Amino acid sequence: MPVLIGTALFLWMAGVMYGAFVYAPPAEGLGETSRLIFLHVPVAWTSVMAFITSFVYSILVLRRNRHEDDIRAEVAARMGLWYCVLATITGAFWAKATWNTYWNWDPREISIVVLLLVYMSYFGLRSAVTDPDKKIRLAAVYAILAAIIMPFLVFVVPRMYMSLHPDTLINNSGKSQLADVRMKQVFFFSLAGFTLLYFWLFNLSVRIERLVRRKEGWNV
Amino acid sequence: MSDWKTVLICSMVVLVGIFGYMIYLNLRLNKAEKK
Repeated sequence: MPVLIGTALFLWMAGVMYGAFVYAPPAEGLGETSRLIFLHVPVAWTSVMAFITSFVYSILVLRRNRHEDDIRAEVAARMGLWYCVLATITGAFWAKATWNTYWNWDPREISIVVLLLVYMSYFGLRSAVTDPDKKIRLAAVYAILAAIIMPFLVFVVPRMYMSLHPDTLINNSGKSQLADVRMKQVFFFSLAGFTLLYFWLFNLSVRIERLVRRKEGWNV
Repeated sequence: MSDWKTVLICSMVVLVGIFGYMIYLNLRLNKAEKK
């Protein structure tokens, strides 16, 4: 069964690549770089989803005090941070193509740097505490606070200031910039693919983290 | 840099990033098994 799921996911992502490179037409004004919508946005979306997962499991850590929940909270935060880095790198390349510079301290770029620092600090905090029970509770409180800040950094701050970054789906005019129906199809197909890939990787990571902690002597 | 080159580089970044994460998981598992 895991092999079947893995194969299906591989085919799905191959379909996403075909859709992004061949099936979808380039958007007017953005040219061929508009194909990055099918990669950059789903990666950023996955990052947000992972941070929300970390938030939910961190609340459960405080409620139930279970190490199992902490594994999920940590794994989700790690994946969120990793996907956030990927979104930042792809965004920088896209910025070079459209704004002629990799980095220009746009409000969106500043907020993403702050978000990266917030979640890097989460792992700094985890590694600074040695007592497992204290560690999971402190980390849970921090992850909850970080997740409360996250929507402001991702959705609110870039819209409060003048930004060059386009709002693909949620914008002030209420209109999507994905004008062509084929672009919409590939975009949502890609979004679903990256979401499924996230859950598959999350499940795999949790199982591995559980084994690692058992070897380290944690009671999980 | 041409538009297509940008698209290809970003695709590679995402693919390498996801595979890189899987390699990290594998290394972490191997390290734990050696303990």
